[in-house]
Amino acid sequence: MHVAQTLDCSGLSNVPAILRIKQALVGWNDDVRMGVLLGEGCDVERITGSLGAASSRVQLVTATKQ
Amino acid sequence: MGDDAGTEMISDTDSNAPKPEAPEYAFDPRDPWTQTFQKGLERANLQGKAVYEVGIGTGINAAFVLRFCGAAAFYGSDLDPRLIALAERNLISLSPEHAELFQPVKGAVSLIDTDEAREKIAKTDVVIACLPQVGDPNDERFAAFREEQSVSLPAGAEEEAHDHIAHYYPWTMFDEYPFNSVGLGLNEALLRRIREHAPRAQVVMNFGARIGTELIFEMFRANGYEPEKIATQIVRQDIGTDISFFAALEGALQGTGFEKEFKCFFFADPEGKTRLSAHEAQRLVDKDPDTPLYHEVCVVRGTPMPAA
Repeated sequence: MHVAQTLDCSGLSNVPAILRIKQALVGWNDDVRMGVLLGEGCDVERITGSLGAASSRVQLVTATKQ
Repeated sequence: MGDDAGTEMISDTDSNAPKPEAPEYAFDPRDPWTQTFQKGLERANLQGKAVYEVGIGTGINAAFVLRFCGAAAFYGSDLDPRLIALAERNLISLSPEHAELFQPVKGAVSLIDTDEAREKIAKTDVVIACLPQVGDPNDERFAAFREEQSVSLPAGAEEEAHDHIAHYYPWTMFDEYPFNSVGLGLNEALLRRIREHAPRAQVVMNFGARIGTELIFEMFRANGYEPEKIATQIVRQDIGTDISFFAALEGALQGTGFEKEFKCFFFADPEGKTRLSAHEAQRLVDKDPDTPLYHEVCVVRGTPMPAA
């Protein structure tokens, strides 16, 4: 399964980031994983857990300041 | 509820308010949102400043800012080109001595997306705006999201009133902006444009704080502005404006472990004491569409932060 499109969630805290991911997953092609760029303030582990089975449909990446 | 910006309930009528021409296609200038916005504009220190309003509407704020706040110049534009001519007429009737200080951008202008608008924004000290924060009920992607949360659209909500674009925005069109997830995509799009074309300008924006001010402040900081609430009031939820967007946001968090970290801010009373979630508010209006609901409207000033 390849990763397509990066969903920009930079600047968002956990709740609006989860909402953005869930909104983007509506109608998303299950054969392709969605890349998700999370902001520094996000808790990747909690967000992954919050997505349940849908977590396999996304690849979360955290942005870090240089 | 209350805070240092001073919460108060306002009435729907103000005998001292100007009486502008207000056709159905324009946002009603007597609306409490406008009254709240003007309280914020009074506190925004606009004396001698060049001000640009994105979404000029009837021109009521142009007249107010020039007449009562002492602005040196007022620019403005609107997506609906009819509103520029209306604003010019209203300014001439309400404050004729200031009419020459009003320099609108004519034609249909989305945000500040024309050369003339950007040229004026570059000369602006303070950009003001009150933009929709609810996705259009007829937006297909939003409809799919709403249905996934088992939130139905109330009867009649899909009908477009004459001033539809003053209440809703095309949600999918602004999905590149992260805060679109909570209904702030249009506002975030404007902040980014201002940051690019007028990096030293302050912004003064009017919000319905149904998602809470914390998220609104988060959007400001994420886009390089330090936010400050300068006015706030509890107003009645507009009967004609759909709230299923907010119920869908709460619904999407069910089962995620984050349910308790986000509930919308509606109130059952005009004092803002009895809080309701969007789901609770939706249930009440589903039973009786005339049930009065209330929410906070607040004016937020954003000051550009130094680039990191």
